Amino acid sequence: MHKMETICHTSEPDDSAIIERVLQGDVNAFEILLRKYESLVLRIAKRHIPFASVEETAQDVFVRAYQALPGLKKKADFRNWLSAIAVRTCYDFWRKKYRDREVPISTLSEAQQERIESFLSGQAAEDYEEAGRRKEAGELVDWALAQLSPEDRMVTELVHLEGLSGQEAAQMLGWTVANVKIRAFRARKKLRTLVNRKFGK
Amino acid sequence: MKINEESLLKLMAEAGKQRERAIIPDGWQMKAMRRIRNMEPLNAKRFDLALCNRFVWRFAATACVLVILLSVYVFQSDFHTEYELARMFVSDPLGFDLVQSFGLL
Repeated sequence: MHKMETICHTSEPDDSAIIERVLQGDVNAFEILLRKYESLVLRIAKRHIPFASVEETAQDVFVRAYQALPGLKKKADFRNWLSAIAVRTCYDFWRKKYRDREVPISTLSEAQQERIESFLSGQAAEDYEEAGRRKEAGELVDWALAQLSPEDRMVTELVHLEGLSGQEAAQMLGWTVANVKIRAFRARKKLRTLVNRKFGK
Repeated sequence: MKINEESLLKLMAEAGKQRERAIIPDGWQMKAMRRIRNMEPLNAKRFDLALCNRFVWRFAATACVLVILLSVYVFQSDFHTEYELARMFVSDPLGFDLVQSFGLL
């Protein structure tokens, strides 16, 4: 009986079947995909987009996925396809922000600056897991990333904040692996210079 | 205090984890579905696309056949562009004058 229940529980329709239903006009079937992959999309959006815009970006990802669904060739590969759409939506978010010049160049208040300085001065011996230190790490990285171009920003976030390999990042962005590696290296160098120039004594 | 490569990588990894901890309230899923429901169903779009694709490809095949036939005809009839044009102008003084009046020849 227990085994039977397990089988029934796991035999939910696969992505291909749901996609086919959506393509045949059953819009409500798309909600099954949305519920299944909402945490994946949210995780990607949270890593790349400011908190206030995450919700709207997550919506945009699913709307774009719905619109692009007729063009999806390998229906079983929906997860990777959706991840790539999520990453590109985040990239477009930053490109638009930079184009509209909405990205603040330096948003560190004096208090923040002091906190980061004390954080950096003690960082070698500190454990970053310590709750009080996480905020400073986040503020410093946010400030530094705001100085980069949208391309450098996306590569840095994918490779160093999300921990993706060069190949995975390349696949998500639709770039070559070499391009991703070069950009990641240059962006890292730029970030180090920025932080050291601002806080290095 | 200068930051080194290792510290920077550690810092970024921590910032990534920090961002992921943010909690997004539910409700955006319903808004997304509302936006999607307000759009045209995909089967209608798919029909247009399929119809368009069928016509485009059918036309492409016809165009290719036409190009091949024309090429064969041109090669077999010993057609030389410059010669044919010159002959056309010489045998048609009216056309020749018209071209001359535009300063093309």
